[in-house]
Amino acid sequence: MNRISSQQKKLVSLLLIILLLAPIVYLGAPSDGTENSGGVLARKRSEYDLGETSLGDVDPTSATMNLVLLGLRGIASNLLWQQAVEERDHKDWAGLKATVDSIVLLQPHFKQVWQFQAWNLAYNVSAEWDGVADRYHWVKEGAKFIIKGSNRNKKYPELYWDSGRIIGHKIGAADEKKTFRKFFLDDPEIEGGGPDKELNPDARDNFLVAKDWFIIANEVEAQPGITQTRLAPVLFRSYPVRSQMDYAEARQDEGKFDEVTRGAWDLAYKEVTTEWGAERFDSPAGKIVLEATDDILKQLVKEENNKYTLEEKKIWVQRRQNMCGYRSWRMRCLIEKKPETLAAHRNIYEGKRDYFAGEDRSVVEKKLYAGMEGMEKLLAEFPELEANDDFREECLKAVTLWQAIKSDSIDGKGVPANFPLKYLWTEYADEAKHYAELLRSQF
Amino acid sequence: MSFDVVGFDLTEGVIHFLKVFGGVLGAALLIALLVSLLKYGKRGVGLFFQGLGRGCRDFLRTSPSRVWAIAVLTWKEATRKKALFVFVIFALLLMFAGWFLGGSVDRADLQVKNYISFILKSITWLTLPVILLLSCWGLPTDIKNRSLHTVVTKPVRRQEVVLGRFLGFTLVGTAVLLVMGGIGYFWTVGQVPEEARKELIARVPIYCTKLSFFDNAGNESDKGKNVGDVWMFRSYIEGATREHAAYLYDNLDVDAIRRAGKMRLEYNFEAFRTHKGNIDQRLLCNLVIVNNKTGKRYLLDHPIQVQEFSNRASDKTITLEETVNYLEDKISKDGEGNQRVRRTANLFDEILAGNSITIEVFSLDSGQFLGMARPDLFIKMPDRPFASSYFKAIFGIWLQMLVIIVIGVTASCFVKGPVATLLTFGIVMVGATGLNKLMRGLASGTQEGGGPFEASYRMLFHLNPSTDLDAGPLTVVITAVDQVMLGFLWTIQHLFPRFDFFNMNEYVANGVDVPWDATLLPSIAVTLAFIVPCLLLGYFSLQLREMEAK
Repeated sequence: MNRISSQQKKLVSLLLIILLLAPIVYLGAPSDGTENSGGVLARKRSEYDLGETSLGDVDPTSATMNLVLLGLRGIASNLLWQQAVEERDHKDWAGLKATVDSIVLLQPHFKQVWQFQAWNLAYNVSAEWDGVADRYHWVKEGAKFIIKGSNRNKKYPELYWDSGRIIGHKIGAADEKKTFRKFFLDDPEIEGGGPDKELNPDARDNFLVAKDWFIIANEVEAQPGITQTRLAPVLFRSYPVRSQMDYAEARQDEGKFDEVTRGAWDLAYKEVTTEWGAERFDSPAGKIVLEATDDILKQLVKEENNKYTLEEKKIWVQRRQNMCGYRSWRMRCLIEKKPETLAAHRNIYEGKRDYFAGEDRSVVEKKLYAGMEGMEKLLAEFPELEANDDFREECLKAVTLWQAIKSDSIDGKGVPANFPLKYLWTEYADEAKHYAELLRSQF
Repeated sequence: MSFDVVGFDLTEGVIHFLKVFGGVLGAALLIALLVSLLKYGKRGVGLFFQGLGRGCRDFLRTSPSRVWAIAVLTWKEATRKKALFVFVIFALLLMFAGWFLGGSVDRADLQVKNYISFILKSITWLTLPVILLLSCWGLPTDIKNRSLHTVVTKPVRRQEVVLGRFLGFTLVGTAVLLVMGGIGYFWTVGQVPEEARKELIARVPIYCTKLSFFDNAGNESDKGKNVGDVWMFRSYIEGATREHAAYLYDNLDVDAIRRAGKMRLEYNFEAFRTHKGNIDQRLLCNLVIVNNKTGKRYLLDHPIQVQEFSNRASDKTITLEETVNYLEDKISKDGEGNQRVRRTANLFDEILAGNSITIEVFSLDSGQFLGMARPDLFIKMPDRPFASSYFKAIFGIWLQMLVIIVIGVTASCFVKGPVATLLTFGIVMVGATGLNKLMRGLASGTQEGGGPFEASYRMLFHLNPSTDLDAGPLTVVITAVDQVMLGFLWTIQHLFPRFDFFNMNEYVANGVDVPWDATLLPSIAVTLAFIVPCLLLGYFSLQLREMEAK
């Protein structure tokens, strides 16, 4: 027999509801965005950076999907991944992209998904297409995908680094680099011309845009509690300046030997020595820097209370420099920023171009000779250049062309006994022979 | 297309059906006779034939009005079960689908595929499970609630109950499908980006009857070179060699092409580069039309660019007007060397004369390969509107629904709701997934490893499926026993509907009209082939079923 009335029952229920509500409010009250606001859970979430907003931009669709699927998102992702593989094998590219988008909705904070699929789109799918504009479209799809991934995951430096790599390396170093770099500034898919604003809002060179992404990657990596597992720190942090060098080198490859190019090398040198070279890296001998002088190292020894000796530090500086080729990059920038280097490059470039264009041989010969002279001066000033493959190739090719002109000359004098870069020509006779054969095969 | 479009042989299909139906019916009758004999002794023979006779009479006296009455009741029951709530989910999907699909690919022509695939898959996956559940739970619920008692005690025959259920659920499904199909059509047309709307068409292809590959020495084969692609769909020919592919069209309706005023060819070849080559230039190929009656060869006067993977019809269409320019090899007067002379020919009276042509495809780039399959080059008849292929695909979903209703209702005649659901789901899954293909492979002997006994033997002795078994008496016994088992499997595999016929989505997504002979005809045939046996099975199951059992 029920002894309490219906009204009393309701009141008791209401009281119980209020009582139970109190711990819920205490534990689960949402944060208003300010520090230490909200319930226990909200504060803990903020303390350990577990909230969606602290990981990156929030996609409401993704969050909803994960809630709806309860604990099944892993299974759903696996099924979608299988579907993506099948679509790739069957060359259903539109289907593949849609499936990949669905996977990242389910696994928005799984960095390997973003990395793998961005690579898949930019490198594998693009290579499947025959038309160069089509290939560029898929490189862009990969780049946009990884950028989306980095915006969703602001604590993964690797994703920013990958954004830089696709925009820098894939666009600027692929077989199609000449066309891709052009498309980066003047996209064939954009009505009325101009760049794709999503990737290149300010119409800049692809290597400079890539450099910005590498800088962000370094900034993120520098935040406390964040590490990256992509590369050794000395290498990872070199990429902004490496992009700067790539930019300057690409301009030279395209025959742009102006003050902008020289300025680009100058900036690269500054960045190598004062930014990358000045950074402090961990080593078994404590902190070291790549641009190390005795004074700097002594200062570091002092800061670390003589825990490591100066000699120990010097050994580890050398080992780290060897690891990332620091001295080689530094020397390259130092040489390339000189106006006389630029002039030598220009002379060789124009001599080569004019030679194959069938221009007046006497003018071509003069240009090549001037270039060879310039290179010889550089070699005298920096003997280490002899070990540089690219330098030797450029010099020996110039000598090959110059000798070809001299051999064909109607004055009958032929190749003189002495000529600039003769040391390289005789010292690396096998390489020289190879370039001479290569030239003969062209005709 | 990602698969070969092969015409369906109706005569062979009917013979197949009669074999399977006859075999299963014969076995069922024999078992019924044996059971009758065991249960009732000699009297059982009479009872058996009596039952058969009653069955024949019942079927002959089927009343359409009673069937209709049960169909109407089924409709009411389904609506009462809130089956139409499926529309709410559909509406929700359509409201938010644009979020996902619009941004998936930037290229408008590729987006078209995603929109069409999405809408057709949504309709399929929303309607079929609902219909499956409705059809499997209808009769068991009636039996449980004893409402079927009130029906069967009235002058309603069992087959009328089954037929009424078939019809009722079909009506419900048809109404749902019509509404969803209609909304889906307008949604697709509205959602597809403006610049890609012209790709919403239904091309009418005439595929070749035979594709052959010729190597550099002129040897014919049905396969070209393999470039190591995981997907073995296409075969390749090497560029700048005599290798070529030959598409034979010996069934041309020249009058129809003449009425169109021109002949349009559409190609979809794939490029495979072994070296960079000229990166800025797509691979090129030459087409030679050979008149099979006169043997005259017409080399089209300009090479075509391989527009790989493009979904824009205009990229890949070659139009030949009535007067065709072609190049002819002419040996110079001094007999040294050939030269190509430009000539013209009449398309209808010269090139297509005799209704049989072969189109030879030569790749022009040295060291590069060109891949092709049978559906990759076709003659395009005048396009039909997008609605034509779209609603054919909806019809395909309707036919699938019909098969599910028929199987579901039949299953519910002899087992309870949950079991009927599982049974129908299982049959549908086997029919719709790779299991069906595996069974067909095993039954036809094309699957490596042999039948169950041979496979067990191989597993026991760790034998590779590609190596032959040692000749001997054991192999003879294993093969003989496997033959019986595979014969059984051959019959069993036909009890699962082949849903691959019903899937018309890819045609619509690729802008191709759904063909009658390769898809519509076999789908209709499969559906009809299930209705009659299921009706008989349902009738006899209800006859034998104890209505008091819940």
